[in-house]
Amino acid sequence: MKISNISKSYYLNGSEISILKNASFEFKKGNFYAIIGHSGVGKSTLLNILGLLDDIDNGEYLIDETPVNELNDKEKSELRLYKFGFVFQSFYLNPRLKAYENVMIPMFINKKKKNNKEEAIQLLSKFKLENRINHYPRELSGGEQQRVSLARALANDPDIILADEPTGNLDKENEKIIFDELKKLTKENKIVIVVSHNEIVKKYADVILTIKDGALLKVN
Amino acid sequence: MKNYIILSLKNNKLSNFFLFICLFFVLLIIVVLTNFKLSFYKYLTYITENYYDARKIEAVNLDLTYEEMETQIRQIDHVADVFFFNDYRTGFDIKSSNESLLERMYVAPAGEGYMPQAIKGKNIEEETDLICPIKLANSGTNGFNTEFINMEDYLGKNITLTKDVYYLEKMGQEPVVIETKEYQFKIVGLYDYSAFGDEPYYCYTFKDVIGNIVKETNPIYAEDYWPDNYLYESGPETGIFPYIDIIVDKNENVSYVENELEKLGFQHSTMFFIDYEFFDTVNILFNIVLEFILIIFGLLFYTFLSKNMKKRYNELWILKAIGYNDNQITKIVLYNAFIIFCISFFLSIIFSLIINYFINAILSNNAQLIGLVIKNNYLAIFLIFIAFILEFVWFNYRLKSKVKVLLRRKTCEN
Repeated sequence: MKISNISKSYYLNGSEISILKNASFEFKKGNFYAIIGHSGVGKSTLLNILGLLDDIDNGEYLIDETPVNELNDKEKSELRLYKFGFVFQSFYLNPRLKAYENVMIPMFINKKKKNNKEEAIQLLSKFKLENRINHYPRELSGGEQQRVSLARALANDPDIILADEPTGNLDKENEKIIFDELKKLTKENKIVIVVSHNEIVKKYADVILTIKDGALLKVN
Repeated sequence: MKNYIILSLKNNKLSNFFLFICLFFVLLIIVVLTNFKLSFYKYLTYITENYYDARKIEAVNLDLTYEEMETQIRQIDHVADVFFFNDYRTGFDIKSSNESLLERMYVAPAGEGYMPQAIKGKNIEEETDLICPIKLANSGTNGFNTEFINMEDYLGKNITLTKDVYYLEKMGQEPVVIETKEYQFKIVGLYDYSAFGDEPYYCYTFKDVIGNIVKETNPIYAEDYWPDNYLYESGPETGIFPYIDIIVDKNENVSYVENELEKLGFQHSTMFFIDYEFFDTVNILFNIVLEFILIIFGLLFYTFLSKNMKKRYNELWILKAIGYNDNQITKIVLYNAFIIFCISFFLSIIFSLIINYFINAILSNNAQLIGLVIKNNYLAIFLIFIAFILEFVWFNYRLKSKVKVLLRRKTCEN
């Protein structure tokens, strides 16, 4: 995954606010990347751009040597479906679906997948949630919900996991569980990119990045 | 994707139920109104087809004698026949009715130019033939409480009609029966009342036959019964009703004759009066109301879908993050609503059948509206369904752009 000289601005009350300016970096498989920095610096914006949820104003973004900035909505969505898995601070589980049904959501539109329910249950078992498959999110603890969210992110076996403050709503014990699981994914040759304020993330990261004056800088 | 649609249908029960109830009632109103309008116009078309006979006008001018009235009326163009109402119409008792529903019968005159056509049995040919309505209104019952006698039970049967001859000595005194006359008839045919412009209380025989019977059985008045210069006093005491029956040559000339009668100072009425202008106005109003409902419904439904989408903001955004494209997300919102719409539509058709049943039960007891049957017009219902499909196509187009903007905004918020 490679970004070259990407820029991104937003407009607020008529004024242009530059978030990213000529940011460049290459993300490699099997690595755990942590993006740190204070609020408002552009970490989530970068994650949205990497996850094709937002467009860049300038520059180039390549995935497997293919430029993706000019893809249409359908192509980007398909890439997101098969290549990316998202984990968010607020979990974003569907409160009206059971745990295994939430995990199945990405599988419903995956043309290559069948036997969705069995796979979903297997994924949940991997995260030690085999006894919680029929529970609704309101019946799960924060840590359990985040693990369901992680299982959902892995539903289509993506190459890239993007996590935006995944432990923001969790206690220390669950923080460790989540970071341990994310770290394990690098052994499966996945790219894991985590945005976090949490200092503990530095212990797991192979590469620590920060955003300064719009540019992406390596800290370690 | 369809798995997700089914799941979200099952799991959004409250809002789906609310949507279902609203849709069901709106669709039921539309279907019932459409059925009523089309059934009513079918009924009007039916009764204005070639064999429909609405040529009889009842008229009176109390300033004229009967002879003067007849002379003036015969001078009006398109008048085929004129006869004094009371000279050619009367009621009979039925001998040995054995407590059947048919105890009394009213007979009216038919002639060359004014003849009910038999739809069962045959037309009257002999002087003893009678033709009756398929459902004869029982005298003494009327309005929405009309009792009807199924005359098919009497088709082909002989019947003895009796009539008392009265002697009236003084006005205000009880009449005295001096003789009871009997007449043999046979009910040879049944006609469709709704195609023949008269109340369904009458069987018909030849004008001369009934005219002779009326003459033979007219009350006999004492010489000094009537006060001097007495013209006509209508009412039950005298048994005289001064109306004249006018038979017009064609249905379409009835309005012309009525206008001429008004110029001559006559009061008049027809049994069936079809104010085409009124019904055209009602038709236009109905179409406007239906189109209004469809448009308003479309706008409200779109607003509901829009709001529903905003309510499901987070849910739809995460679908976007997972990899659902804008098209798929729009379809999830739309198909949810479409499935509920189809169920509501189907149920509204079922309920409209039930409503039709009850309306028809009420209508069948009204002598004036015999022949009006409310039925589902499936072609019209299908066209309404297509109209709604087109509205969904429009929703799809509008919602797609809304989804794009909404989810983009959510990304910025995040």
